[in-house]
Order: sequence, then structure tokens, then C-alpha cells
Amino acid sequence: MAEVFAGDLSQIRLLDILNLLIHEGKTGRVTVKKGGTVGEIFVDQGRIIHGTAGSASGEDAVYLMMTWMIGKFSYTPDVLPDSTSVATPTEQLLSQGVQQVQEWDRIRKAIPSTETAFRLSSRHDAEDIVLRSDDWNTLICLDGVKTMAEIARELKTSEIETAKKLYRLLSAKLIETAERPRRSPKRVIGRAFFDIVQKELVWVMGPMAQVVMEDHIADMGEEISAFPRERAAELVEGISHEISNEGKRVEFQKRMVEILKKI
Amino acid sequence: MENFLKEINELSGVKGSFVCDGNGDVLSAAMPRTERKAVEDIGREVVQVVALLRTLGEDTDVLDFLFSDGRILVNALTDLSLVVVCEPNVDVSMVRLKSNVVLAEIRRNARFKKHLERASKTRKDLGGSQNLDESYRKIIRRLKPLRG
Repeated sequence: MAEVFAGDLSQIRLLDILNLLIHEGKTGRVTVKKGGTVGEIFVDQGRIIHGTAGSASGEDAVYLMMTWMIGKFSYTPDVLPDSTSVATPTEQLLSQGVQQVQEWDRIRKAIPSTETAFRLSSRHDAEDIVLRSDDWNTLICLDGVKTMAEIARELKTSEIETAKKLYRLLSAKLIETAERPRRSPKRVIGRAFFDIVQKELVWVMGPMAQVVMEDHIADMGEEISAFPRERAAELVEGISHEISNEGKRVEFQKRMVEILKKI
Repeated sequence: MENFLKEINELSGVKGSFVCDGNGDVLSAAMPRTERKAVEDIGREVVQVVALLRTLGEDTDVLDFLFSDGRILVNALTDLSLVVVCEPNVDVSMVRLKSNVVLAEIRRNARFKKHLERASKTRKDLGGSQNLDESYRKIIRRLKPLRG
């Protein structure tokens, strides 16, 4: 079944797309691609019934996708999933989704990336806090090296749930972010490389290029000022997934491969 | 086509590369002489893994096989697979970028298109599972009921 419409989340929010489909009582699948991650939300006669995004499913997947500010989306009508995973009524789900997005914005300010590592706080002015068993389970994972993504995998919880737990402990000043010991980078790339990447990307995707590039760098847990040379190809590969036109994507990759060989 | 593959081989950490069609038959190879026999075996195994995954409903076109002493990166399209044999610590992203570019060039090649048209007429359709080796058919028999 062919897509009915497609677009970019930088131009229209996922929440607005879902509201439209729900209001119109539609049945079908919304697919969102953000970098290398693909998420899907299924609606059946205007009700959200299933969601998957990476390792998340159900309500968590819907909430996660609602936090994505960039990515490509498409809607395919009359496609239903093999099973359902969302039990929450749709109106309640979207309302909670909006709250999750707002909470997620607060959390992201304190925990900017899934590659952030944590350790017990060295401060002595932590607030009194009652620790739950899952707080203990989280605390014993912290060693100043493991990142939020690694802790989520170890605890077998979603990244959103893990981020909330860490934010709670961070707010109580029991833990702090840690400078993660990195693989010693053989070389750090200079600013000129990113100027070239951005210039090439602007040519294929327009003014969103800078946001796309910076978002990918942040998702990788790196900074432009200290970006390891060994991850340059990984960055280019991730960015190239955002180029929906296959011909332009191949051209971008071709030019970037030649540039990467020289750095 | 071999020239395209040699471009991939120039990347650091790459030992060799080859292209095989949907039947696992090798169309072109740029591999060290000592590995030539292995190429046919790898091609057949790669195509069967792809057919197995698709039979089970897993639509995947990028595979990464990591071993203690090597790595095999595969771009699997409907009618051909590009296989790159590497050192374990190769820059995977760099190989994938180059592979995408090379695949686009290969698909534009007129001689190659003719070969694919001929091959599609005799294709055994590994996805039909009856043409897979017994070990793969056993996996399908075990996994299919679990997937519903």
C-alpha cells in the first residue's frame, strides 16, 4: 500500500499528525525515521493501538517518538499491526505524551545525551530522599564510566524510564554527571571538517543541515570542539540517513568518502 | 565491476570484496588468491542468511558478521549482495558509505543489468525455503511457529 503523505518533523510535529489522524478516525501506520532508528505508530479508526521505536514498544514508544524534533515521517493507510501494545485510551495517551515531552525537555537540559555517564555525588549537601528499590538498582550501576544508554540496557528498562530515575537522583544531588573516560582518540577533527559537511549537507537538504548535524553530534555524545577522527565516518553515515532522496544521498556519500580519506 | 570493488579494497582494514546475485553465484570478486574458494562458500551462506531473515519477515539489507579474526559486512539488495571481508576493527561506517556508492555505480552498469536479467530467469528463489540448506530449513521450522 503506497504512502498517502510524508514530510519532515522539522516542519510539523508528530503530535499534530496524530491529532489529525485521530480526529478523522483514520486507520493506518505512521512511520518515523530519526537517524538509524525507525519508529511506527498504528491507529485503528482514530485510536492509537500499537507503537514501536527501537527497543521501546507500546506507550513508551509513542512517548519517545513524540520527543523527536527531527526526522522523516510518512503515513500509510489501512495497515494494521500483528498485535497491539497500547492499552491507554488515546486522548489520555496524547495528554500524557505532551506532559512527557515537557518533562523530557527538563531532563534533557540536565542529561544532554544518552552517552552521559554518572557517579555518586561528591557533594555533602544532598537533600533527604527516600530511596525506592529501583533507585538502589540504578545507583549500584553507576561507576563514572557507564552511560545512560548502557545503564538502561543493564536494567532492561527504556531510556526514557532510566533518564527519569537518573534525573530524580540528580535533582536530589545524590549523583552527578561524570567525564566519561574516552578511548584515547588518535586525532581530533578540526572545525573545517564540519564546515565542509555542513556545506555539502545544505546543498542536499537546505537550511536544516546545521540542526541535523549538531543533533547527530549530540546523539553520539560528542562535541564539535573535541570530535574524534575515528568517529567521523560514523557521523557522516548517520547524517546521510536523513537524506530521503536516494540519488542525493549517494552523491553526498560519494563526496564525503573522498573527504574522509584525506583527513 | 572489479574496478569498483578495488575502490572498496583501498580502504584501511578491508581484505577483499565481491558481489553475488540472489542465487549466491559470484558475479565479480576482488579477493586475495588464497581466499577465492572461500568466496563461493561465503556468498552462498550470506544469501541464505538474507533469505532466512526475509522468510521470517525481517526485512533487512545491512548485515554485520563479527568474528574473532575477521568481519564480513553485507549490503543485501533484492537481486544482489555486496560482501566486504575485513579485519575485525575496520571502520565499519567508512566501508558502508563506500559500499553504498559502489552499489549505486554497479546498478548503473549496463553489462551488469543484462546479467541480472539472465540470472532472474533461472533464479532458484532461495526465499522459497525449499532451496535453502537443511540447517536453515531447520531454523525456519523452529522459529516460524514462535513468530505466529
